[in-house]
Amino acid sequence: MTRTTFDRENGSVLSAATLAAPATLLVAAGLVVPLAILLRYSLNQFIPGQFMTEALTLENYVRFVADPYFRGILGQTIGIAALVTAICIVIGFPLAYVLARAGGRFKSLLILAIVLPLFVGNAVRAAGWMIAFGTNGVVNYVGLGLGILNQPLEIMYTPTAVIIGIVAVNLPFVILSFQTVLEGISRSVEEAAFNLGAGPLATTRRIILPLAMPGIISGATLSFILTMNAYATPVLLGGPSFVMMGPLVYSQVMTQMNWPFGAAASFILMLATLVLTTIGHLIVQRRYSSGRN
Amino acid sequence: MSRLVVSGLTKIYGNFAAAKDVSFEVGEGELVSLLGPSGCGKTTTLRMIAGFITPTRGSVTIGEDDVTRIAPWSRNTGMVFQNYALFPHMTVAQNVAFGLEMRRIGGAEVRERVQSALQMVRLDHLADRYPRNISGGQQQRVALARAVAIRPRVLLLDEPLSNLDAKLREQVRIEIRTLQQELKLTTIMVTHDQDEALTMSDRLILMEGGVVQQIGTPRELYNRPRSRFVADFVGQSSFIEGEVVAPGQFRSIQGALLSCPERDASGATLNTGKATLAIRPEAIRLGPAAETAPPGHAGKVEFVSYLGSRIDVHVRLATGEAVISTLRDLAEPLSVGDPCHVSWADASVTAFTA
Repeated sequence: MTRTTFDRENGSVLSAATLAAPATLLVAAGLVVPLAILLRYSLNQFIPGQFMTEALTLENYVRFVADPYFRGILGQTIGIAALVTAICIVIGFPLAYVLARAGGRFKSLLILAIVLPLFVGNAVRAAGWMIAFGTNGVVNYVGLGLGILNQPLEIMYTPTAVIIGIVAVNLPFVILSFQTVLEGISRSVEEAAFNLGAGPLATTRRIILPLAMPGIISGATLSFILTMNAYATPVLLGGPSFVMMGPLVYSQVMTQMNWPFGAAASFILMLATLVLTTIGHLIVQRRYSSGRN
Repeated sequence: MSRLVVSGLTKIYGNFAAAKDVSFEVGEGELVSLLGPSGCGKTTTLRMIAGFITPTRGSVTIGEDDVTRIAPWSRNTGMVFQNYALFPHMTVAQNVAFGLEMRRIGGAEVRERVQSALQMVRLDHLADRYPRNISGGQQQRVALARAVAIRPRVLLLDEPLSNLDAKLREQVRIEIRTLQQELKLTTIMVTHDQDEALTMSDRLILMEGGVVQQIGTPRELYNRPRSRFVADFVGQSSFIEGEVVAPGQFRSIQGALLSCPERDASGATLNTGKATLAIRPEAIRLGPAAETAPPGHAGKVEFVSYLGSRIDVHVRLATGEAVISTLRDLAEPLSVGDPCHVSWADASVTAFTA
């Protein structure tokens, strides 16, 4: 049976390549190729009446950057993404902490409650919010009925509606990535801080936050990227009056049939997301670099 | 440093009492060990003193202050955790400084006290290392320096040596004890290791099932155990079960007639009825089978364990009882199956009624 050993040794080299190949191919075919095509499109020319004219021009990018309307939409999207991410961190962290320290049936129940919304698509959930936020929606019905509100709240088609909607979408992702790192922080480390005279606030600030930083970064990054690229929620809850980048790209490509400009806008979105996430990482890393070199 | 008084401390979870009516005092500068098997309530008691567990009943007093309802961060106790619980994102010096910073002590004084705390445990050369870059023994000393640097009113040691290897353990035992005596730290140490407890403590508190079994100096616990559990847990003992048939006379279950003390371990008169005799291994003498004096019993060697400085010989008496004898050295080699003469002084026998 010497052959088996030989084969196994040889096979291990082979199988490593074999195992990595499908994923590599899939990424190449599914991500790099379409991106390359999109990049090419973004350099084409759009002449109304014609579909797309072969060219090598930066005019689509220039148009986006020069037009305050488009710049405004990008700025608005970044603003919403930052705000949503901040809200997700503030709401998600305590919840994730409770989750990480909980045990037994209560923990399973909590995880189920957090994961359950992921079973329902974004669009369906946004539709749910529409029912809740409408002028005759649940919120106003209850608020007016109980006398908490004097007049119906106008939530639909406002940034508030969009923010609430996206926060609800992102929260499970954020909480789960916080929970993983928080569970890795030993309870006795916290107790050591208490024992040395640090109250809960000081312990959170000096011990738990720095140790949880990798999870906070990944959760926040996830939330930021999800918001930058959000589509269903801003379309359904923001309506035509509150536009974000995702819906803008869609309307350029599908409604205006301006593929070159849509392609340029999506590249600007991607670039902005990349640059901002990188800057965010660098700032946080510099601040909390001690101990993780 | 302050006196610590624990009185009637009880913790009940559902219908399980983790600690029942635990009371003791630790004098200024005294090191007292909470000793017992796992689940005996020693750690629960320590955690109630630190403030991590709220007692169901009872009180903890440090110095003149009743701290039972005080948050752990306001108690001013210094704890060394079993797994050290160092802050992984801080250097050795930052770890030690943490407690001082929480006390709003100025930068210069912090540096000075960190320096002296690290010098005390001979780690000042590693001040800028991170915990993961130093050895387990060094981490243990950082944990000790961190707890001592805040000048705690009471030092709490939770199984401080259990994560160290055997050789290092003996060295650190002496280091901790020396430091504790130099600084006159009022100290409570939790341990399940009787050697550790015997060598390091001024007094021991032996616990079982959430209840204090006996409090005393190492010598008292070894020489005058109050119950069979204490005699069994602290040191080794040979136990012979049976009944007292008349004052001073005992018959084992197997039928051997032995003499026994007239009073039991607690000092009460030993009445006729069920009882257990305990004999320490160093009190049991072995001789050649032909020997007749002092009067004793015929036995047969069952097992010999050679431990270097001593030899433990397990012997089965002709009547069936098993005893262990500890010898310094063997005059002539004994091997399994050899017959021998077993004897002990009547005064070395302790009797328990339970």
